Amino acid sequence: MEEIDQYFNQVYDQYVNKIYRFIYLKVSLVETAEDLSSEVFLRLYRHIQKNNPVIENPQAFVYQIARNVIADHYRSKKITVVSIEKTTIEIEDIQERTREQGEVSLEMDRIKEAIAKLQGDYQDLIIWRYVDELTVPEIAQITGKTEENVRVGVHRAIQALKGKVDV
Amino acid sequence: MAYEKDLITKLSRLKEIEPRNSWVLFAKTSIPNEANKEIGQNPSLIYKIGHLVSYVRYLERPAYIFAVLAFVVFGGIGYKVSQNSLPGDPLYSVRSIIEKATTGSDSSATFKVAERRLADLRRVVEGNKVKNLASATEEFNLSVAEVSRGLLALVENEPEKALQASRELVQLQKGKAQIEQILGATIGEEETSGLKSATKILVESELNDLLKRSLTSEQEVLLKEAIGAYQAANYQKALENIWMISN
Repeated sequence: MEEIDQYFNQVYDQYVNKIYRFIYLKVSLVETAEDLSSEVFLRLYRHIQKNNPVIENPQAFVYQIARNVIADHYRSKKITVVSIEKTTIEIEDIQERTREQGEVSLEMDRIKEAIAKLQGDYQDLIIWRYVDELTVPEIAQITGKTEENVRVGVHRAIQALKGKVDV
Repeated sequence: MAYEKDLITKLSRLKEIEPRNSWVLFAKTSIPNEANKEIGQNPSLIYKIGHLVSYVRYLERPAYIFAVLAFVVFGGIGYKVSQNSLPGDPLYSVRSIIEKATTGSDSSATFKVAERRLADLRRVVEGNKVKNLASATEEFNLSVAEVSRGLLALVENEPEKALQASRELVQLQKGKAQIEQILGATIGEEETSGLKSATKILVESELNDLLKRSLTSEQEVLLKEAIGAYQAANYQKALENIWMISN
């Protein structure tokens, strides 16, 4: 029991900020990001309880759980189309929270807004490569794709982002 | 290309987004407890404290602070006023709801409720509050009926607790008798009869129990007196003797 808690705490301390940021940039709401991040680490804890506490690649593992949790979240919400009106509300909400919390500037809000408009895979690649600064091999381990495919994906993602920021 | 570099620099600044420290700490302690709870283990004290602390997050917004303050202030005033209300007063229903929510449903709780209703009735009678008299009497009668039911259940299911309950019962009957003396009338004849029947059953149960025990000569005398009081339908006297034997 102690061994499980110790290992969980170690992984939690190392990745909680990254996982929260990853989720927050995709859902844009603090409360939802907190709830989903909690769910990620709850699933991690259950996995450690059931299996061997040592996970070969904890980073890839927690990001994979995070992707599943986000997918489950949107599936449960049945969100298929995000209307322009809703996006505007979300942007306003992000801006309000940003002002309140003083976390990032309004310039950053434009970038966040642009990321939120990208398709899911591109969002992941942008966050991993340029926000969390993971290496291409690390991203390849998370996604299960070849390094070459990741490089191409990252290139396309940044081009897509440029297009969204320019709009 | 320069624009792309600028964009990447800006993206790296999103690293500044971090979760709230209070949430990080709370989640860290609550997740293992949550997982353990599912497999039947109790949450630790740390989890419970962490859970309480987590509510602080609602105070980060001014709107919540005002709402909470308004609730506390007006709720506090309403609570205080309702606590002094009597049956028949507009705020009595609030007091009644609070009492029901904070009092259990076991026999000891029914005695507590009856004692409160008796105290209400005493205030009404002593304060000559005529408009509250009918409601206060009705509330007291209802509580006495509850006590009778609770007493019977206690004799049936938990006879060891029944003797303790009988002390509260006698106090209740004494208090009722005092008020009846002031009023010059009997309160709730039907309910009183029900309570008397329940007391009779309690006395019978206790006497039967004592008859099976080996007693000292002094206790034998008290038991004989108790049986005599029971036969004379003086259950209060019978109970007093039973207490003396049991002590």
